[in-house]
Amino acid sequence: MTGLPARFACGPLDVEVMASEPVLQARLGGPLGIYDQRWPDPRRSVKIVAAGTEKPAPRVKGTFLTCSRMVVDRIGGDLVGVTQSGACGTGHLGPTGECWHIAVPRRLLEFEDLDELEDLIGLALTTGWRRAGWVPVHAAAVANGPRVALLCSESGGGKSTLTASMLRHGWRTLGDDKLLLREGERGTPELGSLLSTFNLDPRTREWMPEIGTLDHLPRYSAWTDKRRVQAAVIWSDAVIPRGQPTHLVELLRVDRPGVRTTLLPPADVLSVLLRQVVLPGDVATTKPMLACLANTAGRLTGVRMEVGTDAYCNTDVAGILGRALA
Amino acid sequence: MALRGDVVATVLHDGALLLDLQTKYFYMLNSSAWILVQPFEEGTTLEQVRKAAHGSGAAGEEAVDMVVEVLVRDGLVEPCEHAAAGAATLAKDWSEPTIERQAQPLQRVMVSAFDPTVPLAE
Repeated sequence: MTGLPARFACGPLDVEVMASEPVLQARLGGPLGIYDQRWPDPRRSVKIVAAGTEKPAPRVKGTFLTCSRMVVDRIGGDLVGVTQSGACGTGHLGPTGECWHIAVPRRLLEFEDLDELEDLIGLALTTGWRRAGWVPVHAAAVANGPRVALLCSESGGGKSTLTASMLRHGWRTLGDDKLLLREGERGTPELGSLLSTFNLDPRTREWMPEIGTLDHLPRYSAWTDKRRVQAAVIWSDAVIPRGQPTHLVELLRVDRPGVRTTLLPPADVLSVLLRQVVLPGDVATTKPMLACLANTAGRLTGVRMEVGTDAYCNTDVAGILGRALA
Repeated sequence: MALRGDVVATVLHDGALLLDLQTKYFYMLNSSAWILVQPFEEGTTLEQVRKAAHGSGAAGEEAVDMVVEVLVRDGLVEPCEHAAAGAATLAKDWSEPTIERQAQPLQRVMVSAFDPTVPLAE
């Protein structure tokens, strides 16, 4: 193992990483280091131990989860995830935390072909968050006084852009992409913020000149031109740690100019929310998640927002949504 | 018959949601449909459910059969050894039962453990 373990605070989790080689330690730490919102104690413990291996990965079918680069099964009391290239993460689920053993084929280490480790880290984090009582939600959230709106769309659907637009008009945010949700006291839903960075397209500058040029900033991933931006650099005090959601916005891109908002029927609120969450194919895991999502959806007012071509250049998008959420 | 082990039921304030973890289809039930379906959580017989519903005079025969037929047609129920739950007890504020399968299932393959977006074809 390399010297001291690296430690990361990822929302309600304390994550400790020990790897056999520096390159492995660095690649595992990358996706963990983005979580910069400090949560109060106590936090749940997650240990990740990684090393190279010559052994082949076990056969896994994807009954718990099937992702584009990883399949996951529950085997006995463990979760076992195997990536396309054969890296394997085995999570032992203990009462106070989890311990993950990640085995990386030596040929991947040799060529530093380690992108898929991010998938195993995502599995370890989402497992820990769920077991800490939180539901990971792939959505943005903006807040203004008592109003807290979840902004829902698929990847690339405009959550970050709309969030930036709302911040420009005095709203605050809990994040533009990754949130945690739970049922708080008396069943009141509660959102937790995980990170204070934004993933913005450099072209946002065309209608929001105050963000300046983003070209020099690190890319969010190899698959997109978006850049990772510290929210506080542009809007001081923009990120809030917690909020109680009151609204849900289904964000749709349409191929016509302008912006249109309509009320979303209550049944559709739950349907939209379900599509923002990864629900594993395991009853014991999914049942409490569904209960939390159903309870939350029942308390939210839904709005469908259609954002057309060049809307941000020509329309007061934030003002329109602000009035719809009034 | 009983709900399959990998069909998850969640109670809503005006009914329930059933999620089939195998197909990822989910179903919205109003409160009357949930009264009919709830006994299948522990196991009941189709005859018991039909008899209780029809015998009460509250539920139309066709509507009750429609709910049961969806459960059977979509394979949400399977044979079980014990019909432990007995039959449904119909509430006074009974309305036409409805069970609606959502047109689009939830994602079966997704980008990552956090992002449920359907991956782009490479």
